[in-house]
Amino acid sequence: MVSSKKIKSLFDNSKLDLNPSLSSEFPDWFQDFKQKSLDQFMAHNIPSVADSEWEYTKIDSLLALLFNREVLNRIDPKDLPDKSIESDNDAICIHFHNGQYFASSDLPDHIMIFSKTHDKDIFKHLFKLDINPQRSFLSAMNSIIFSDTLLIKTLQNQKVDTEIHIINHSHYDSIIAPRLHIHVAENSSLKVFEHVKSSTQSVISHLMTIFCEADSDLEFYKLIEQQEDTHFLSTQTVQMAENSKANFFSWDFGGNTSTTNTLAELNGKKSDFHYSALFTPSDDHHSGNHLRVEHKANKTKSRIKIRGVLNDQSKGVFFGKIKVNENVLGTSAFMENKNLLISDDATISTQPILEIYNDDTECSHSATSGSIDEEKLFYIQSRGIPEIEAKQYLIGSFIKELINEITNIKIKTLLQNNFQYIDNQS
Amino acid sequence: MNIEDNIILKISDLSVSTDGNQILNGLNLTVKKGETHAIMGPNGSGKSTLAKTVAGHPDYLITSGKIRFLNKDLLSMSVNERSNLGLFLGFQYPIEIPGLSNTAFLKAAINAQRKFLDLKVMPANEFLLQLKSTADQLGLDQSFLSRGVNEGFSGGEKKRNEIMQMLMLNPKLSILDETDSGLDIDSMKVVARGVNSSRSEDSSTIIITHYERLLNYLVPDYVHVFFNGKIIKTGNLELANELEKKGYEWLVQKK
Repeated sequence: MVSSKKIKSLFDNSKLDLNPSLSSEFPDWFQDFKQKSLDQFMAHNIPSVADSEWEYTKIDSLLALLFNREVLNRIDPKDLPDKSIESDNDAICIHFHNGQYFASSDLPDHIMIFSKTHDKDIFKHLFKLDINPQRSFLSAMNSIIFSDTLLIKTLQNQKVDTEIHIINHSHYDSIIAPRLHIHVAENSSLKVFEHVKSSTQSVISHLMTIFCEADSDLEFYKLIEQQEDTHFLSTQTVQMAENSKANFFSWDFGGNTSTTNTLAELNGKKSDFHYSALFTPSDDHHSGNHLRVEHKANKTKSRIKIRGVLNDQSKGVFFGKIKVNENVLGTSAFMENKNLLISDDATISTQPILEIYNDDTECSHSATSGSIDEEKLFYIQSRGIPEIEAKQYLIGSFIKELINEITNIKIKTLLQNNFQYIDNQS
Repeated sequence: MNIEDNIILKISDLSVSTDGNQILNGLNLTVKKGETHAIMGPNGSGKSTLAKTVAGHPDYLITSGKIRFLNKDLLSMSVNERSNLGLFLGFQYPIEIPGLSNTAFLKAAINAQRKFLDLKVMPANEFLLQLKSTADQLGLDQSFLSRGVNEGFSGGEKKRNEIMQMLMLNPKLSILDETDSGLDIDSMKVVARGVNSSRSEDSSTIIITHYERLLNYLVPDYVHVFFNGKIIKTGNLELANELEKKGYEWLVQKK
């Protein structure tokens, strides 16, 4: 276990700045924020596997990777990705390399990048300490490492049809902290697709905040592709105002450690939150999915569907809590977690919790975990399909139910193409 | 012609147990090219066990005996290899696989077979034409093709779907396990027509059934009666008619 004293010694001020080339031009308030984040981080108890939130997480190896290094974030120009990869005429593409802005299509006014903009004060209100005990460790870590920040902010009544495609590349041995803020203004709409591609031995501390104003509509898709020794730690908050709609889909292929901690607050009447996630860890990887949804206004709705496909000796955790406040009427909440264990050595711990303080609530939750259905497997094999392929079809059919709910055809196709046994006929 | 070349399936002294219970007890059965055999017998006599054992279901343990299929050792083959070689099992209870469409499933099955036989992948349009005309032949609406395998199908639809798979895979030996159970008269006729259309000098069929009705349409060459895991009597369609009238008791007592 790395002690906090040791961290203090490693993280003196000279090492605080992981990206010196960037921050020289940064304003005082930013330096101040970073210092406060470091203070918060230091004051924090370093999580251990004894905390239920961090159960199974290989926290020691993660911290060792994070703090025991001399040279950080060297960028060798020959490692830079080809800008032409994943450029798309129908989308605005923004590439980040090792957390820093790298290339993009022409950016419209509603997209701003911290390192590029001259008017950095626009970002000031976004940099504040997260005091929530469940997330403050992760968000403080993001602030200390700080790579760059992307802000997407629509105007009132602005319907943005062009999808925004964010690609986060990282290469060997990097420690990065992407930060994404999305603000969907009143009666506006937005579609965002974030693609995380990481190389081996990197640590990605990802932070995202989303604010949906009244009558707004957001579609958000995330695909996380990681290499073996990658640690991906993500914290995200969603705040929803009256009549707003947010639809999330994420697919995490897993790395050494991959945890996502999500808080959704349904603050406005009739706000509607959908969250679907798929995690598919293999080897001895860990995948943690922590989600809290708080219904804080009348007639709000949440739909949570989380599915895990666990291979080899991988370990998965789902912790989901739906909370309905006392004075809140007409809530509708649904939470489901289904897991498919395709190896005898894989394990899953699932904990769906409802905390309901008002009777005027329609709420259900379920969690199931099982292995491959032998009768289905036999049926498919009996038609001449080899066992390995038959299993892939069954995994595909398990995943398909979730993919089918994606209304965005382009994203749906892209995800299906990532997995050849997902049948795209029905 | 070598006499072995004419034999599709040869089961010798086969004993099988499942869940610790001995179900088949020294069964012998030989099926030649072009023949249709019916297997009847009371519940628990081992009919479905035979079907699943031949197909290679992992829950059935062979305690003794041999099965040769097309003069090859069937028991050393995997489930898919048996199918690739030309064995088809029509399931008594076809399995539902939501999320995998009938079309995609059959396409994968056919191409697995072709790969095994060293043939090229079947062109998509050729496959679709063949699939549509087979579905038509069995009175299955085109919408069934894009639905999940057997997902939400009625009992009759599931059985027709089994026959559709059989016709598409064009097996050398089909074992139809109670394909007629739960079918109304019209569906039974459709299924019987489907089975009849697949019969040829080169292929054989084993029909497991409780009722003579399907057999009247198919007219088997042999009717076998199973009891306690072996064949206790073999006859022809007349035997099936007799069983319909008298049940199995008289045979069992005679034994």
